[in-house]
Amino acid sequence: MRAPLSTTIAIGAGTLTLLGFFIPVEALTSVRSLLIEWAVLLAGVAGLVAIAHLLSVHWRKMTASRNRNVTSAFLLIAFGITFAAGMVLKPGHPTMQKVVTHIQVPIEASLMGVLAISLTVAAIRLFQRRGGWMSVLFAVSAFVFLIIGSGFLSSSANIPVLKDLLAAVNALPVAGARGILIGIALGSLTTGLRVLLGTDRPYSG
Amino acid sequence: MAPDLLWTFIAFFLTILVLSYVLGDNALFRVVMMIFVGISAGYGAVLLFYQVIMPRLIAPLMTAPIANQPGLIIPAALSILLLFKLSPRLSILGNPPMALLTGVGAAIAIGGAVSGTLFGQISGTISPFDLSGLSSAGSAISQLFGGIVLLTGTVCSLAYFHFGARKKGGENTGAQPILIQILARIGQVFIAITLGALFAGVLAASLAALIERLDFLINVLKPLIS
Amino acid sequence: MSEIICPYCGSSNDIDALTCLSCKKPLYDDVEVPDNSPQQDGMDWLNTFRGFDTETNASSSTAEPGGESTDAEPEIPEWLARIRALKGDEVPPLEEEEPLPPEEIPSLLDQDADLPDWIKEIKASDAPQSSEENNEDFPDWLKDLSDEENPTPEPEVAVGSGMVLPDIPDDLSVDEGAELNFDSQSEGTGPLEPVSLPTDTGELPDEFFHDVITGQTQSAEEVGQPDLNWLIERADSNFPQDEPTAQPLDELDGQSLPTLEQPEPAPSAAETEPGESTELPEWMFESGEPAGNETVEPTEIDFAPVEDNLAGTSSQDLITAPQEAELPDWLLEDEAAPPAQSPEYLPEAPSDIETGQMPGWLHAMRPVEAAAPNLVASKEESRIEASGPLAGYQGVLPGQGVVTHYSKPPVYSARMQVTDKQRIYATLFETLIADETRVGAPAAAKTKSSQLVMRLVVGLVMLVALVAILILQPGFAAFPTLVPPESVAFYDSVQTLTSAATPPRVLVGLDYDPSLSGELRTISTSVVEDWMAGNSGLAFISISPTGPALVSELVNAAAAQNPGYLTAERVINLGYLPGGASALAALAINPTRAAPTTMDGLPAWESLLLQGMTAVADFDAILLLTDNAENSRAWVEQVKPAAGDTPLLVISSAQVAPALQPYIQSGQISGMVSGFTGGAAYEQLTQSVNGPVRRYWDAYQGGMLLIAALMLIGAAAFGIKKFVRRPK
Repeated sequence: MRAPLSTTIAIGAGTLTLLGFFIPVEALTSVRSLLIEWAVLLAGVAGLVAIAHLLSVHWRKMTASRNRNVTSAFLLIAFGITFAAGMVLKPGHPTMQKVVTHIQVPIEASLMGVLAISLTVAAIRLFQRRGGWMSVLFAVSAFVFLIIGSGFLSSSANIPVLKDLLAAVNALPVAGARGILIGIALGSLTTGLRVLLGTDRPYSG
Repeated sequence: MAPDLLWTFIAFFLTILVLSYVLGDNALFRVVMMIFVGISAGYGAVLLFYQVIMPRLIAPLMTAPIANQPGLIIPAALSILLLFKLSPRLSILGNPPMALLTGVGAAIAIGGAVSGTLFGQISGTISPFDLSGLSSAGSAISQLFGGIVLLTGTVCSLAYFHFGARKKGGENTGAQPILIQILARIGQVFIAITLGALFAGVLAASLAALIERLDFLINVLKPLIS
Repeated sequence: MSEIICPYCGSSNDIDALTCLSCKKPLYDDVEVPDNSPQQDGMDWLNTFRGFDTETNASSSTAEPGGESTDAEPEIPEWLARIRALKGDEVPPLEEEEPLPPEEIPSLLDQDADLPDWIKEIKASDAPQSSEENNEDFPDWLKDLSDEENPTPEPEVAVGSGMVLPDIPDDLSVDEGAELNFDSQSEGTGPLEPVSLPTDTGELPDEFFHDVITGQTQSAEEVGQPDLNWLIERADSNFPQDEPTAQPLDELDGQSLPTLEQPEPAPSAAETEPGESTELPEWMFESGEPAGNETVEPTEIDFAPVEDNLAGTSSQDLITAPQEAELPDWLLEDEAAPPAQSPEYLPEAPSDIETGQMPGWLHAMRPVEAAAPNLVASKEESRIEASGPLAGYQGVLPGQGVVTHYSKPPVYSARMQVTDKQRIYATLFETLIADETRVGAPAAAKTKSSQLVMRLVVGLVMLVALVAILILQPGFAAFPTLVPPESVAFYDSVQTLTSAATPPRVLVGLDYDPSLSGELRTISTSVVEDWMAGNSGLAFISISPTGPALVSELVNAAAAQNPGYLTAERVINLGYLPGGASALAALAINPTRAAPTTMDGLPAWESLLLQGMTAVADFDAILLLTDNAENSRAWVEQVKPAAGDTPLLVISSAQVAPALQPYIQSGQISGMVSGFTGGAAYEQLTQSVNGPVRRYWDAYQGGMLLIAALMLIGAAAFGIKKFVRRPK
């Protein structure tokens, strides 16, 4: 068996957690709670490892002898300043919160705004390449829900059947979304069971 | 210059630089992206340290020796092992903590999927057929019709996913039965409608973000112009 | 002299020999013995036509049957005329057409020390193979051709035509040829071309072989009796005397050599491959005394006239294309009759054989280099060192000539072994590629530019329209009067809780990213204001790293409308929980252990607001602010089961609303406000006049309708475009 220790840990921890979820025994729920707390801690450490790896990659890109990426220096400098300030001020400091609200928010929100333009262009070109009935249905659906989402029809309460019509139209994506949700849940179930049975070992890479 | 004003101008110029992407990719945009990633990583590292590592690991260890806290030995050891993931040669040492994360995550996903989604959504699918609380026949018919549409859409959408095993070579086990094919075809319609609604939702959300940013720019420029 | 014993037959061989003189097998494992089979010969020499057939075509195709070689004089190509003009006067600088790989070039030192193997093998050679034997090795189509040309096989042993022309190895270039003492004039050397000894002849069309064969047969007839004294002299002087010589030619009487082997002109003795020498006809050795076993001293070779003889020739030039229908002039002009070529052994060349005609397609395929050969070829190779330790050796410093000569660089492409079919395929492929690049590149550029233009136009239209609406605030968009039921349920829940006698305590999960903070903060502000108006206690927690920082922004915005609300007491920020669903599971099990401290590091659950609370169900409501469907699902799956009857209220971005609708319908989410539309509905329900959503409502509705209109226009435009293009 490949990675026996890791597999044992995964199966054991997963089984105990699952038993604690379905069997309300104090011992099991305590173990479950303890394992989940460990998992939260390890998730935090894993986040730090991921950040460290990101920095190492950009450091290599910046110091590479060939194809040097100078812009990586901006990333490292920005990280260094933010990290140093954060360690000194702590994340709850107003200055650190302004780092988020006045730097991250403008950048990310502006990117989302640019996405609006890009998506509009994509919507305009929906019929340029594909003309299948699924594409037509998708485009019609998007168009209808754009109109509904604009609230333009919602302000016309005087139209007799409009309310029922909107309710019926709004019910259509619910059915599809429910199918998708159940499908995702079934997928999660099978994937989780495969991990617990040791069939999938994504941790042994 | 007041600090708030400085922060406002920083936000203003960052917004302008990012929106300049509409005119095409440019060096300033790429620099802004690097700065953004760096700041996000820096803030995230600080947050993780102060919100996770410090209260859950370091602070308990500082209050008492680790020998007196057996519950901390394992997570501390696993945390140290996880750091070996940074080294390509020693990354195998980081597998046990990753295994714990995966196993616990799988169990949580199973429990949540069963109790949160499967039971809830199945009961939500059959609940419209419970006509006991309805007063009028008209509303009963309406609810029944809605329930049929929901049931049909849900079942057909699930049929479209085709939960089947695959052979080792990645091939399908075979063609679906004709009934499943028909259901899947109907499910395709529902899924297309749902995806269209999701696309419209994404457009609406991004448009809201664009409006908010433009309003911010206008609010910054308005005092300067007037 | 050292010797090496053949591992196969045990005979003694010279130390420099690569193959055994007796058994012809390689003396070393890594040495390949040239394949001397007639089939290979017949195939390979035909292959030499490929790519450099044009010059020979001039003579062969125009030579009249029975005509003299001089008849072809007007057809002599320019390069040949230039050679003749230079005859005896000035040797043009030779340029090596294609440098042979070092390992293929036999050392001249070795050559000087010993005769080349192929010469040694001449003395050990047996009688030429009979035509039948040769025919056995020919492919069927060659046999057929041979039969067609010579229905009644007759001995056609003649100078230049009776030999089975072997493969000409690369190492037999000018150097080895130069060792031969050509007493005769070099003038009139036929059009010679670089020879690359291909082995694949299967691609040559049959008509090509037909032309070649007929032309060569004709040449045998035209040639007459060229001077072969040089061969005889060579046999006299160099060949071992006591070596069993080749089978006398008269023994071949009655045997017919295949016609295919005949067309090779005589001068290709210089071109013949060592192993091929075994097939030299007997006449070559008739006048020679049997040579002994001892090797010939290199000093016996007269190098002096080499340059004169090789004037204007290159290593490749020495190898005559077998297609040539006539012998070189320098052979023809020699007065001495070939002694070995007695009339009775002359081939009875059929006079009715048609003249070889070079097909037009082959003529057109000649490489440019073949039409304009580099005459600056191998002078440096034929130079004899006059001083230094290498004095007397020939061509040992070829680089000197390369450095001192100003000439075109060698054109290597002339030696590329390309069959006709491959050439056709290559041309076809090149045409396809050319078409692709010619059509595709501009199309891609056009598409890219059109996309850029469209993006610019759409972007500018949207930006201008939105900015104009935001500045002007025209108020054309009416607030919704038809409110979604989930928004009504949301509103009802908030009103119920805030109107209770005890101020509610709400667990607020702030789970949105900065990218959609504009939308969610705008929607949430009104809701949080209402909670604050009811003096609710708000405990914020986030599973997004930026969530804790966004809490303050939202709280500050809402508190601005509620000056009397004690934010410091009624709002607590539990910070960030890593791990996604795992963190939510931990929160659902025991919030006091999952989030023990506030963002400031203070013990959260000892605060006045959260005192006595140990579970999620202790909260009066759970409010989720989200833009993420996955995290929303995790909240529903992990937290909601632990919350019991505590309502889960959601304020969502418009992008996740469709994914959360099933949870609303199933009752797992008690109420939801999604997007600006939901926010407007909520503000409509609360009768808010100056709500944040109302400020953006015109721009939002205008923008949505503009996008819908653009989409419609795009669909119509591209639909019409497709409809118009369809007939094409």
